[in-house]
Amino acid sequence: MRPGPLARPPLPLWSREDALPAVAAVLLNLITVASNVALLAVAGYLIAAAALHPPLAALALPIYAVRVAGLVRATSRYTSRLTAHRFVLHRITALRVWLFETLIPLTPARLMHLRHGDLLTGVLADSGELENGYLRVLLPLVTAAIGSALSLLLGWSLAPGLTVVLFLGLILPAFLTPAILLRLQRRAAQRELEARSRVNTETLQLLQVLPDVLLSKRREAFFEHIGRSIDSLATAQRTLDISSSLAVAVHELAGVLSVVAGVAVLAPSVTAGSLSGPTLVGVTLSIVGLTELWLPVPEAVKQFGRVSAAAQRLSGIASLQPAITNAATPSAVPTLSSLRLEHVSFRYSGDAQWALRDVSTVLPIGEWIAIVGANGSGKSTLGRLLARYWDPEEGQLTWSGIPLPDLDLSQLRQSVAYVEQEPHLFETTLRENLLVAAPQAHTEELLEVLAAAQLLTFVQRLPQGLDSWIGEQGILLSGGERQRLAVARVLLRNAPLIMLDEVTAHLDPVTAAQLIATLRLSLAGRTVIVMTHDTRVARMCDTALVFDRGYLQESGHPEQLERLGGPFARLCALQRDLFLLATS
Amino acid sequence: MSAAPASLFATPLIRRLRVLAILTATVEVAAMVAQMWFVSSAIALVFLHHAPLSRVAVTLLFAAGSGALRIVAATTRRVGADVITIHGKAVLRRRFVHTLGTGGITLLHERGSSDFVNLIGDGIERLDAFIRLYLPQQAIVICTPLIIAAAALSRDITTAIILGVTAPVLPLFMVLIGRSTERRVQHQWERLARLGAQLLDGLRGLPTLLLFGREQAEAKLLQTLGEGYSSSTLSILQLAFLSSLVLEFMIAVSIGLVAVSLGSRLLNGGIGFQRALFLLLLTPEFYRPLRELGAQRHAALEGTAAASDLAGVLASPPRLTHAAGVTVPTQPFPITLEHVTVQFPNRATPALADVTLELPGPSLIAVVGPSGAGKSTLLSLLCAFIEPTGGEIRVGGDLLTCLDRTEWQKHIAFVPQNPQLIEGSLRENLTVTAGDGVQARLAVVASQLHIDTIANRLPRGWDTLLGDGHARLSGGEIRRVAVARALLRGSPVVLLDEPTASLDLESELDLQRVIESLRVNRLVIVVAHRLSTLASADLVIILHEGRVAAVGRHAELLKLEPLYQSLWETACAPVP
Repeated sequence: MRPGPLARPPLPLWSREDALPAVAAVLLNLITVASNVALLAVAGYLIAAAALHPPLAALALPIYAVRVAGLVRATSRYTSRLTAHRFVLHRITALRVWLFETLIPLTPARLMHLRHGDLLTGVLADSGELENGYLRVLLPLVTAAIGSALSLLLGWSLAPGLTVVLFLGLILPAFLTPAILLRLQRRAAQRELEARSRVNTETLQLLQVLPDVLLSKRREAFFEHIGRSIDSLATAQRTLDISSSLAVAVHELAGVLSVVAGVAVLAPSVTAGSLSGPTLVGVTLSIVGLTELWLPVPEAVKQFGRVSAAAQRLSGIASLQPAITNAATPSAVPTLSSLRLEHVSFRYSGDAQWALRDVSTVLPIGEWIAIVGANGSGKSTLGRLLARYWDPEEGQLTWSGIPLPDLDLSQLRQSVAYVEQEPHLFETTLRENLLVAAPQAHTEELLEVLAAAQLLTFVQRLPQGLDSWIGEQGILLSGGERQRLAVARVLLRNAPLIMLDEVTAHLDPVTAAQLIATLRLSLAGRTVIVMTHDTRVARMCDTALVFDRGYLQESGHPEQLERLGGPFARLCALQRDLFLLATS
Repeated sequence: MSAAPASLFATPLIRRLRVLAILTATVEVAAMVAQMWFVSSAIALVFLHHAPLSRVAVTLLFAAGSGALRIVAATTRRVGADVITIHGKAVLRRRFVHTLGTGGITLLHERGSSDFVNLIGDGIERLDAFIRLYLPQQAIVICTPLIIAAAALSRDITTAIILGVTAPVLPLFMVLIGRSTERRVQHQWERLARLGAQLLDGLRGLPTLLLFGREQAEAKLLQTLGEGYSSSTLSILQLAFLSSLVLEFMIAVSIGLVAVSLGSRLLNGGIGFQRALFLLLLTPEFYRPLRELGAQRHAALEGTAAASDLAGVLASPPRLTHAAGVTVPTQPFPITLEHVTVQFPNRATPALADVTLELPGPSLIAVVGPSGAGKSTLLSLLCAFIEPTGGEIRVGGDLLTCLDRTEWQKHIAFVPQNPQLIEGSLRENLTVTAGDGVQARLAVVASQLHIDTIANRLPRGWDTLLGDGHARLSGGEIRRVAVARALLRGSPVVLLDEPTASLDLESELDLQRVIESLRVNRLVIVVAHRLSTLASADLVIILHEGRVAAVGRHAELLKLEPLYQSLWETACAPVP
């Protein structure tokens, strides 16, 4: 975390080190077109000159030039494509790293709503769209613009009338048609993008509720709902694609008419004798060759809207304010001697309910502390504030007497081992997932923490053991296995404060009890906070804090609390009731 | 390799595309030959005879007219290809959505949901260039050059020979070079996809990386990966672009060859100027279809890769084979499983193996077992989301596969392990799967599960929109809504997959009471970790590694099964 609240660089669309390959790519593109023009022009010149029956020696140069032009065209086209790709690949790598680093200070507070609906996938798609932008928009447009200027100059030097033909016949239609279509296409591109993301999100939603939908009498209606989005996608694509095809047609027609116009414009000079016949043939054929310069323009314009929208969205991320920033002069994190909450209030947004309200307490160091309460009581929020994902709206949390915002953020996060309710696992092997916490750890250490997390037998039974692949977000593991792997992971860190959020939720009672018992042994002496709604787990702790809708209701030794007959006793009674109901 | 992407589209559609391509190409090439003839005539008139503009005006007009006709034909082909491709993609997308109706749950077992979404979005889009550009080009790549060669032959045999000899050599070279690079290029695109997945995974796991102080290391890793990827991509592209280099080079050489041969014969008067110019103008056109086909080679490769992915989904076994016909009895009991086995295609061991069970009429049945024992698979089977790969299921004596699936599913209410909200109001979320007369029962069920408390908390009560981007419910609330939704179906069979996970104690107690009231006239099957459910069940089924380890009443199992005993004691011990 670098100092300074908003020192984030803007979207790196361009960097100076890319100038050379970019210029080279454009130049090579121009040479490719020029050599094609030369090939056709010289070939035309050659046969026209030959028709006048000159001595063979007079044709030696054009014959030689035809061969050279052919060679140059092939090689320059090849190298220009490679250079363009080198440029784009380099840029995209830089963009992706920028994206990652920009998101770091926004994590996790601002990312939480980004993750919602998998907007991250959209962010990635946008960076892919920019790749398209360099290759299909930027480079062809620059090439076409420079090439236009050069061909006008060349035309002027041959015959002023030719300049008019080139401008009116080739250049103007090439840029004007797409410009006229621009608004239509931009709207269509926008609609296409919307329809496409609608198809994606609706499909994702359908998949999430698939069992319900399959059982629903309105099953067909659900499918038809996506079907309508698919149709509107097709409509937008039709507008986009057909208008592009028409733009190409205009471009081609312009080419045909320019050749004819070229002959018509130059004919009087030939008749008058001011222009040689072979030159007429050469120029006419070069117009044929020149048309390819503007061929990519309609496609570039079509893509432009999409690319600029993508760039705007990415720039928007850079302008998000981080929820927390590192202190200007952060203090080092001292040994954990006390942990206090002083009138802490927090809500996730200004209009939401309070997630925590005026909570003051002292958390005993070196003990097991249970945070007990129903869903939405504020258990997880307390963990997030201690890990400083957010700062409280009112009040403060202190670590050995120092308010959390004054501590160095990255040091603080290294001092807190936190297993979230839905821990993220990486799409790699069990081993790599553990090594995230401690890159240098030996296999023995890994097996040790797996044993402490009650996962060793499971791992040993896997054919590939520690090197088993766990799939995207650990999909190949069960809920309980995922949580225990996350527990094993934080055990690799020697953090003074450990927070375990509902780590027993997916476990059967026997495994849950074993897990807590072994963890109590291996984490002896450290401060452990356990968020749970299970009073059996709470009873295995030294202290219990009972929360209800954001308020701290009572705290103390679990057995004392139960005797007191307050909220904790009521929760225990409820749990007992369940069994009574069951056994009656 | 061309067959694969095209086979995903309807055959008549592809045939129409090919016919359209060939017809328009014929008109196009004929118009082009005429255009070149008129252009060369006009130039010859000006150049050799110094004709005034007025004398060549008509010829030039003809040149312009035939040129315009040529473009009309080409544009017709392109627009036709646009329309056909877009229609084809939409049909394919709809087909994909409907695949979910038959094999959706199996599909989700095989691949993740985001994978499926990718296929229906980008996957199908990746076929676009293949169908729209490559396929028509492939259809005309033979006929267009043939017509041009014939036109050349009618004027000059030497040029026709040059064209005829070079033309077959070009594709041969392309294929030779293409073959040797294809696999490596393919491999590279797969690496690209993996890099994207890794970036996404890194972004999703960013909070975790921050907690472990590893975010800078990950950024560096991304940089290194990206650079490594760039350099290896470039080395592959060097190969991939080679075929086009050779193609361009050969075409340039051929044009030069034609020009020089024409020039030398012009010198000694072997051929007339107009004829020579006409032939020279035809030569680049002769090679144009091949060159364009070469340019779309990448589209072809990408389309083929995408097509094999897509075809995999459309053809993935097992497809449900339910027949419409036999009516489902209103009391569909007993449900019997006889030696039922379920083997998912990409798993080493079966999810269920040789399961034989009899589920009698209305009662409460609990299913227990460690994760991966096959509990959820058992429920999917009963819902007819999947079919057994071995053995059979009978409903009141009839084979389940002989029943109309939709009819059968009307008899089932199901709460999956991770229930989700649909995008819609709270009321819609409750009634979406319900049968008739739901409004009357809504109030009762809502108060049983305290849904009214949720409604009171929400800004617009029962009509508050829920789901992505709207009001959010907690995990426990979502589960209560899902259970209420299932109860409102009023079906005789109720399946609950771990309904109490992430419920707080009060809600769990509510749910327990609801289940008690249901068992009187319905078959309630509950997958449970909570032993409270087990104690009251009429039958407890213990599954282990896909097999039935034990079946019996709670009391019997408590006496006979040591595993079950220890489970029970631990659960009860801390509660005096």
